[in-house]
Amino acid sequence: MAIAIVPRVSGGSVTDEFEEIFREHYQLVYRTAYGLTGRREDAEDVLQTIFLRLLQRDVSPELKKNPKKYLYRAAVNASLDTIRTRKRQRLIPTDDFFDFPSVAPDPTSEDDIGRRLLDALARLNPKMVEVVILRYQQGYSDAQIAAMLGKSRGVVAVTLYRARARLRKLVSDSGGQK
Amino acid sequence: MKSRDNSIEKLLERHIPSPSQVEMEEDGARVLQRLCDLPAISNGREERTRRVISKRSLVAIAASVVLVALLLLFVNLLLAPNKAYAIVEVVQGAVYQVTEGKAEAVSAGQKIQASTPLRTASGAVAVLKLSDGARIEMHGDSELSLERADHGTNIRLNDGSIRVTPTQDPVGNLYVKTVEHMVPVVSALVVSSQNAQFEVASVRRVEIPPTDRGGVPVFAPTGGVGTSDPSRITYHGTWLASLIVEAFGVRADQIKGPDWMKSERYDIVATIPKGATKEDFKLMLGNLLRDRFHLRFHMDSKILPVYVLGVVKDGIKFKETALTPRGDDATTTSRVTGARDAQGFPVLPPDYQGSLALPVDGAIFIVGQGVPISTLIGWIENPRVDRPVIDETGLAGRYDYRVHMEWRRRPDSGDTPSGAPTIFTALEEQLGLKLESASRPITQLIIDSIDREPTEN
Repeated sequence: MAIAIVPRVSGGSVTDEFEEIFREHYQLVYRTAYGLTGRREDAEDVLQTIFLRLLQRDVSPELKKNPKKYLYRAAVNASLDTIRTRKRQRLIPTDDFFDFPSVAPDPTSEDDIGRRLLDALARLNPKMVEVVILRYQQGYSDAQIAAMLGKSRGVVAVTLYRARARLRKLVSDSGGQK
Repeated sequence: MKSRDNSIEKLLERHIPSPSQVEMEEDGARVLQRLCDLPAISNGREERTRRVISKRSLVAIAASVVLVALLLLFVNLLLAPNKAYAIVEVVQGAVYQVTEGKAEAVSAGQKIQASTPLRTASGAVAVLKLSDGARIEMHGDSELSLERADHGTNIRLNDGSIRVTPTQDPVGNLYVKTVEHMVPVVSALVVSSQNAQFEVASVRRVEIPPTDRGGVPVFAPTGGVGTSDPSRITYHGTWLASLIVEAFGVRADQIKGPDWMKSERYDIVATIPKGATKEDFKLMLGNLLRDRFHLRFHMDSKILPVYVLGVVKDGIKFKETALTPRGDDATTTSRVTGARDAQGFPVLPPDYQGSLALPVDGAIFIVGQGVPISTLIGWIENPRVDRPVIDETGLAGRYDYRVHMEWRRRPDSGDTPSGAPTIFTALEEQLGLKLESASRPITQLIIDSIDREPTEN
């Protein structure tokens, strides 16, 4: 599944092996980050962060054993970190140009439901997020998720069920999901 | 239950966004290119590749030599033309001055005249003392000369790197000049020649939609030196003026530049080399502004109306902190929960050192814990008051304080009054501080040129 469209640019500290890993998995990482953060800029940052860390650190046994699983988990965790960071950023303004939203958005609008859903996703346990994204964004079946994450199909199904229940409650609590 | 489950499934299928193939490929290619452009990166098994400092990078480093605080009393010229500009206090290794094309060894106690180049050999160190007490530490392989300027002294750095420590009572302005820049020295600065560039920096202009009320959303940076994520700093929707404030240690109202600097916003994600200090970070940020936005500026000073912050006759109503100061580069471990106490003030963890403000309906609750008085000034200064605030309290320690006062986004915002005390009343009644109108010389950072669009990542 090599990505031919990304031009080959090896140089500096990037080895051919590293570039191959990047080409094979960057779309999974990027798509995951985009799905969770909802922002192109954040997806790019998550992608860069994860592969930069790979360059800076020793290759872990987990990465060697199952790079797809390793990078997917890293993408989920880095995306959740980004979202949490973004939330914290609203807490402590330091600039000269202050303002704060005071009018609540319309809780029934499509945009708002989408926003509340992403907010709720970010509050799930990362393991739940992993299966939810694979299932509903990437279109994996329970069996494919189980194979990728090294779980049984039963565990995946239960995790998905619990994740949906938790999401339903979080979305509802945050503003009126019927 | 089944239908409710279906309902959330439909939401998930409809609302989890996916990027387009084009977006993925464009951004993927850009990230890969950035990674490939990196110089050798330590992977933990090898010693980090020592960076060889070219003359160009030294110039860049020196140019961003930066500093802070207050300066100047408008004064006379620092020294008469023929008077010695500095005295050599310390000489370690080979140090020379060049007169009439000849290099002569310099020894401790010797006077250095204006416009006389002074050089240090590799590994040598020299410390010069200016007539007002400011000190210049020259590192190895450096060359400088001193020049009289209209209102002070210029240190012309031709090569290498220096550390400049101004005196508490400067007699005139002190600047470091390089081929490209002239920057003011208003507080001690450390030139770090190894960490003056971010490892990777992604910069892009972004559109930040206004809030529902039509206001301007603000996001504080996250990560960076002294945080739990010291290797990475993220700015979301920041302004170039804010970055200049951070890099060059001036206040926003001291910056004179194009109007668009107050509207255009940028996302910046930068990877900071391991071991960088806050001073290193400022240099890196200054370099980023110069390299990516082609920032060029000079300094000037004017006597302007200000507010002076002083202590009332009965003394302050807050106490020095019992917390042990942590180093400026120490990592903050305590987290703010967002909880508020019965009076509405944000609750800080007991060991938290910093300040936090919570704006609520036209008022603001500010809490500081283990912080210098300058952090309070940061809160009360423009645009809460319409002019700079000069600290003349003489309070040099770190303090715990809390204050509740009226909060307007800007002096002319027309926000509805909240009933909270004005900033003047609140400071006096709650903290024992007074704000008084005065005139003081204020340094201004005049931007000669700056690009709205950053260069490619």
